[in-house]
Amino acid sequence: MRFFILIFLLQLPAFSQVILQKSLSNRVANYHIKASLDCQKKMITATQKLIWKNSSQQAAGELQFHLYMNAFRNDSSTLLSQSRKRYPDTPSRSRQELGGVDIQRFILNNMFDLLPSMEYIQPNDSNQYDSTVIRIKLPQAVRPGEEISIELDFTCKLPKIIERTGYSQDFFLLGQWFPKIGVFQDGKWHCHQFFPTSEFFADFGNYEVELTLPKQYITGATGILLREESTDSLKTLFYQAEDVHDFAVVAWPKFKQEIRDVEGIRVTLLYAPEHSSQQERYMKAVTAAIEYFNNWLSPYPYPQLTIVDPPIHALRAGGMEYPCFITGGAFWGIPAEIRFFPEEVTVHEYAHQYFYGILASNEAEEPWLDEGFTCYATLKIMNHTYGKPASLSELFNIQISQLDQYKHNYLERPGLDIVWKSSWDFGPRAYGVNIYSKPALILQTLENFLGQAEMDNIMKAYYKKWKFRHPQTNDFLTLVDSISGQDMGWYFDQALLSTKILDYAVDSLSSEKTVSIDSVSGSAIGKYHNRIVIKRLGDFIFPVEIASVFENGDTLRQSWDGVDSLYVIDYFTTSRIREAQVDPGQKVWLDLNWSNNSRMMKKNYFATIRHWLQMMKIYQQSLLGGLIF
Amino acid sequence: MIIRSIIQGLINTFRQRKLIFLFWLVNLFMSVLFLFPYLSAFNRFFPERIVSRLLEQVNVYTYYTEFFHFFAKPLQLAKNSLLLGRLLILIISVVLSAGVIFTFLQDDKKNWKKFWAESWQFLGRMLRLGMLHLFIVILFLLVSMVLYLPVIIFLPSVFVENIYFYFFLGWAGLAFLVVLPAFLLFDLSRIQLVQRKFPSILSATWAAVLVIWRNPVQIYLLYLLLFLLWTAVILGYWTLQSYLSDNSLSGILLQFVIVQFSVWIQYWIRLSRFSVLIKISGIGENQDMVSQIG
Repeated sequence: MRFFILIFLLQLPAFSQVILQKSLSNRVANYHIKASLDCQKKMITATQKLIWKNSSQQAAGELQFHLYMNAFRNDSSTLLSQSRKRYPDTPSRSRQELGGVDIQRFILNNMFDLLPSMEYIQPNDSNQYDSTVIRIKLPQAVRPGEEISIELDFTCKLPKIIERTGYSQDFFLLGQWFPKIGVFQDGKWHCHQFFPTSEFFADFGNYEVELTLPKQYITGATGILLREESTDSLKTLFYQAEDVHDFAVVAWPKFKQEIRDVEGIRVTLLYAPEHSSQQERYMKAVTAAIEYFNNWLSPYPYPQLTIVDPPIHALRAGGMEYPCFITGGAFWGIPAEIRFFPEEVTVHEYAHQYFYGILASNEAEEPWLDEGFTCYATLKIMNHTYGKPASLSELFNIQISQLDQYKHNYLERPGLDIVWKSSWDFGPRAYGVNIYSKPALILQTLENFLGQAEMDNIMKAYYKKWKFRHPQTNDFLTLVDSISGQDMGWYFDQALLSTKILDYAVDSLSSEKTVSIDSVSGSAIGKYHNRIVIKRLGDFIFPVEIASVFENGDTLRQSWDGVDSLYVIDYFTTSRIREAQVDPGQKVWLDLNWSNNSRMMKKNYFATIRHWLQMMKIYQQSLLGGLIF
Repeated sequence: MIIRSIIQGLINTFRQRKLIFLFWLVNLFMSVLFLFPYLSAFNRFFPERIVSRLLEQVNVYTYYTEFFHFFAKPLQLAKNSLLLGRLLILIISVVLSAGVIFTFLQDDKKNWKKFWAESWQFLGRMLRLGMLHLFIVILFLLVSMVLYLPVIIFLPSVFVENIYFYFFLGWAGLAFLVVLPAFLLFDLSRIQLVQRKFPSILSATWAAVLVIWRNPVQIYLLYLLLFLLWTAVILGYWTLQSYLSDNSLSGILLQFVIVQFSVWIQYWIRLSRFSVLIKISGIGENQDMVSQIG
C-alpha cells in the first residue's frame, strides 16, 4: 500500500511549502484540489486527491463522504424540507439557482474504480430524497494506521446563496463545496446528513488548493496564497493551509482590501466598498478578540486570518466560520452605538476559530460544545472591549449587553429542550436557545460559582489538552471535576440534561416590633422580628446567597442550598429590615427572572408613576397621529 | 398673504378653543383608559422590587424584557386597545369634522347644540367620504410609485444600502408631496359637503377639485406650511423634553404637563386648517360657480 501512496505523492505538483514549524494535528485527511470556477455557469469543475489515514483502532471496510451541496439539489432534501419557513424562496428557485455535487470518477490507490459502488445513504432520517452523504464499499478494509489515496473528479454547481455558501450576482462564497470525507472514530463513521440545525465535523489535515477563475476577481481563502499565475483572462491561485479541517474561498470583483498585522497574524479584511466606514470597527473587534484569546487560552496558531464583509445582496453569506476564514456582516450607516454588526458577529466568528476550528468538537452530535463555548467567549470579549452594561448597544439611552441578549433569548423559551443532544434532534425553535444562549449562561454561572481564576484554569486546561483532538462533552465535564476538585455532576445534570428552570424569588418581607425584658436590668428592650420568605419557583436547585439590608445600614448575608422549595429567615434586630435580595451579586445568570429576586419594605410608587407617564406620552402622540384628519 | 391667512386661521381657531379642548380631552381620556392594563402591570412589577430603583439610574434591557415577558398578557391587551383607539380617534375626528367646519363657517360663538346636530346630520356622508378618500390616498400613493419608477434606470444598483436608502428616502419625499393633495382634497370635500349640503359625496369631492383648480399653488403651499409648523412644534417639544429630568416626581409631572400642551397645540394647528382653507379658497365668494356643479 505504501508503494501506491509514494507513487501518488510523486504525482502531486510540487507547489507545497511548509508553513507551520511543526504539525499541530494528526493530519488524517490531506487534500489537493485543482478547481476551476466558471462564474457564468456558477460551476466548479475539479480534481481532488485525498490521502486519508485510518486513525482509529478499528479497520474501516467502507468510506463515507459529505456532499453538502446536494442539500440544495431539490427542496425535498432534509435541509430544505425542514427549513421552508427560513427559506421561503427555495420552492420557486430556477434550475440555475439550485446546487449540487456530482462525482464523475472515484479511484482508490490509483487502481480501483469505486464509482460503481458509490451509494447515497441517509444515516439520520431515512429521507430518500437526501443525497448529502455517500458510502463507498472498499475492496479491502483499511487497517488502523494505514493510509489510502483517493482521486476523484467532481463538478459542483453552486446554489444561489443559501446557508452561507453559493453565489449572489458576481459574489461567490465557496463553502462545503468539495466532497469531504467523514470522521472515522471508534469503529464507526461520523458522517451525518446536512440538517438546518447542524454544522460540520471533519478531520484535520493539509489542504493544497489550486483555483482558476477570471482575472478581475479579488479572493480570500482559508489558506496562505503561495503564488499566482495569470493568462489573458484567467488567473490560477495556489493556496495552502495546514492543520485545518475545511477550506473556504470567497471571490468578488468589487472587494476592497485592508491588510494588517495583528499580534503577528496577517489579518485580511475583504469588504464591500459601501462599508468602508465600517472597516475600523471590524479591525477593532478582531484585534480585541485576537488579544483576548492570546491571553486567555493560547496564541492563535495560524499565520493568517481572512475576514469577509459581504455586500447586502449576499447577506446570507454573513456570520459564518471556516478555518482561518470568517464572514461578518455590516450595514451602511449603522450607528457606532449599535454593535451587533459588525462587532459582535466578528468577535463571535473569531471565537469559533478556537472552538470549531482548533478544538473541533463534533458540531452535529454535540453542537453546544462549539456554539455554547463560542457564545461564552463572545460575552467575555464584548464585555471586556466595549464595557459590560452596554456591550451591544447604548442607543436612545437603553443599554443592551451581550448578557441581556442571551437572557432575553432564554426567557422566551426557557424549558423547551435540553442542551446536550444531537443537532438533528432539535426542533427549529429549540435549537437556537439551547445551543447558543443557554450554554453561555450555564458557563457564566459556572464561572461565577467556581470563581474566574478557577474557570480560566479549566478553559486553559481544556484547550491545552484537547486542541486538534475533537473533545466531547464528557471530556470537558471530567476536566471541570478534576480541576475544581469537586463533583459538579449535580449542576451539569440539571443544566445540560434537564429542562428544569432556575428561578428564586423573595416571596414576602415583614417586620414586627416586639418588646422583651432584659434579664439583667429588667428594662424593656424594643426589637424587631424581621421575616424573609424565599421561594424556589423552578425545579433547578442551585445554592444562593441572601442579603438583608436594615434601616440602620447593616447588611446580613446568609447562604441557602436551595434544596427545599421554601426558606424562611427570621432576624431579631434593633433595626427594621429595609430590603432583602436573593443572589445580590447577580452571579446566577441562569435565574430566569432577576426582577423578582428582591423585595423592599417601603413601596416605591414613583417607578410606577414614572413608567406610566412615559407610556402616556407615547400613547397620546400615537393616538394623535400626524397632521391629517 | 398665506402666512397672514395662517395666522388669522390660528387666531380664529383659538377663539374656538372649546373645540380644541374637546379633542384634547378625548385624546387624554382614551389614553388613560387604554393604559390601565399598563398601570396595573407596573404596579405589580415595580413598587416592591429593588429593580425599580435601579431603573431610575439607567435603562437596563434585561429588566424590561422580564417585565414584558411576565406581563405579556395585559400588555398585549393594551397594544390591541391602542390600535382600536387609533381607529376610534380617526372615526371620531372624521365624524366631528362636520361640527367643526360648521362652527368655522358660522364664524360665531360656539353653539354646542348646533355642533352636535351638524355632526349627526353628516355622520353617514362623512364616513362614506372618509372611505372614498382612503382609496384616493392609496391611488395617489400608487401614482407616486409610478412617477418614481424612471429613477431606477439611473441607479447603479439598488443592492447597495446607501443607494437603497437614498432611493427610498427620495420616494418618501415624492410620495409626501404627491399624497398631500389627496388629504387636501379630503378637507376641502368635507368643507364643501357641510357648506353646500351636498347629498352626494362625489359632488362634494368634485366641487373641492374645482376649488383646488382655481387656486392650486396657494392651497398647496398653505398645507405645506401648516405641515412645517406642525413639524416645528414636534421638534420643539422633543428638544424641550430632552432637557428635562425624569428622575424626580416634579420632573415627571412637568414633562406630563408639557406633553398636554404639545397635544393641545397640535390639535390647534390641526383644526386651524379648516378655518384657513375656508378663508384662502374663497369658498364663501364662489357660491355661484359651485352651485352649478352636480
